[in-house]
Amino acid sequence: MYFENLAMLGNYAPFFLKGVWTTIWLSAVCLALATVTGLVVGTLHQLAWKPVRALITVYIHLVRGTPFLVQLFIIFFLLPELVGLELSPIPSALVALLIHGTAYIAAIFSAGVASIPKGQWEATAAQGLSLMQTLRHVAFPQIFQFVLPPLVGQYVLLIKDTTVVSIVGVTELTKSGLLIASRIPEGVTIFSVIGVFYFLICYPLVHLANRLEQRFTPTAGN
Amino acid sequence: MLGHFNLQLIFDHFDLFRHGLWWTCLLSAMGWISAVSLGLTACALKLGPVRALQRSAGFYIESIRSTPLLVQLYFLYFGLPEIGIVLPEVVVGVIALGLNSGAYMAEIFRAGILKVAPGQIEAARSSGLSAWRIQRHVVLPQAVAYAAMPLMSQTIVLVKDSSLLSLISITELAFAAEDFYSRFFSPLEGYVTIALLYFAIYLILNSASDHWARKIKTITGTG
Repeated sequence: MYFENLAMLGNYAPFFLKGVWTTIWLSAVCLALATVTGLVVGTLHQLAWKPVRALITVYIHLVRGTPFLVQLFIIFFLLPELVGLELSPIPSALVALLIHGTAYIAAIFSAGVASIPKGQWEATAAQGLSLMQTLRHVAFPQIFQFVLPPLVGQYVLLIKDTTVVSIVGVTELTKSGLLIASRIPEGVTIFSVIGVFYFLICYPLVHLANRLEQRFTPTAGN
Repeated sequence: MLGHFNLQLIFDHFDLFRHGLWWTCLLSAMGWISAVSLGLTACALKLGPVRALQRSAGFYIESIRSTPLLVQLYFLYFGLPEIGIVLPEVVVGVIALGLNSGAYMAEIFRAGILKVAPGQIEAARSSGLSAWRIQRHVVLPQAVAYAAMPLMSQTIVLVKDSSLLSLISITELAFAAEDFYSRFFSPLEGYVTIALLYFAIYLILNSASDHWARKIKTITGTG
C-alpha cells in the first residue's frame, strides 16, 4: 500500500521538486549571508568598542532566548510597517533567517577570536601589523579549525529552521507537503518522502560535522 | 500598528498568556523527561556490545538529527491516525519533542562518557576495581559533569522547540499569541509578550546553567 501511495505521489513530483528547490536556495542564501555577517559581528563582539560589544551580547542572548517561530512572526508583522510596503512572505522569511543565523554564527566566531592568546595580538602589534592584517594573516587562519565543526553543525540547524518559514506562507518543502496532505490523506507517505529529502540535504553535513569534530577536537585529559 | 502598541490590551487579557506559559512549561517538562529517558537508552545501546542494537540506535540518532522537528511533528500528527493510532494532540506533541531531543541528548551523553580519559579506566582496572565500580565511581561522575552544560543548552532548545506545537493547535505560549492576534487583530502585542516570556524562561535556565558550570569546574578541572 505504501508503494501505491508513493506512485500516486509521483503526480505531485514537480510540486515537490519546486519545494525542494525553494528550500535549497533559501538555505544557501541564508547560510552564505549569515556566515559573512556572523563573521563580522562575531569579530566585533571581541574587538569593538565596549558599548558595541554589550549591544552584540544582548542581541545574541535575545535571539538565543526566543524561539525562531516568534522571531519570524515579529519580523513578518513588523517589516512591512518599517519599509511601508506590502511584502511577499519571502523577504520577511529571509530577514528573519538572517537575523537568527547571524546571532548563532557570530557566537561561534566570537569564541574563535577569543581563543587567540593575548600574546599574539601584542606580538603582531609590536611587529607593526594593523588590526586587519592581524585578523587576516594571524587570527583567522588559526580559528578556522576551531570554528569549522560548530559552524557546520550550525548550518544543519539553520537548514532545518527554514521549515518554520512555511507558516508565514513560503512554499518550501514542508509547506508543499502540507498542501499535498490537505488534498490526499496520506500523511505517512508524504512526510516520509519529505523527511528523505531533508535527510539527503542534511546528512552529508551532519556526517561532515562529525568528521571535523573527530579531527579537530582534542580529547580532554590526554 | 507600531504607533498604537496597546499595553492595556495585554494586561486585560494576560490570562491567555498565563495559560500558555503553564502549558509551555508542562509540555517542556514532559518532553524533557521523555527525551532524557530516550537519550540514555539510545546512548546505552550505542555503547553496548550488541551490533544490531548499536546500529538501530545509530539509525535513530542520525535520522532524527538529519530531519527537521516540524517534519517529524507533521509525520506523527498526520501519520499516526492513518495507522489507527488516535492520540490527543498534546500526547503527539510530547512524543515529537521527546523523540527529537532524545537523539541530541543521546549524543551528549555519549560524548560525556567518551571524554573520560582512557588512562583513568586502565588505572582503575589495574587497581582491581570491578567493571561496575569503574563505571560507578570513575566514568559516570565525570561523564555527568561533562554532559551537564550541553544538556542545559539542549533543554533550552527543547523549550523553544515546544513553540512549534502551536502548529498542531496545542494551546501553549505561541498559540496564545496567535489567539490574541485573531481576537484583537493586533499581532505585535501578543508576539512581543510571548517573546519576553520565553526570554524569561531562557534567563532562568541560563543562570542555572552558569551556576552549575562553576560547580562542575571543580570536578573536571576544566568546565
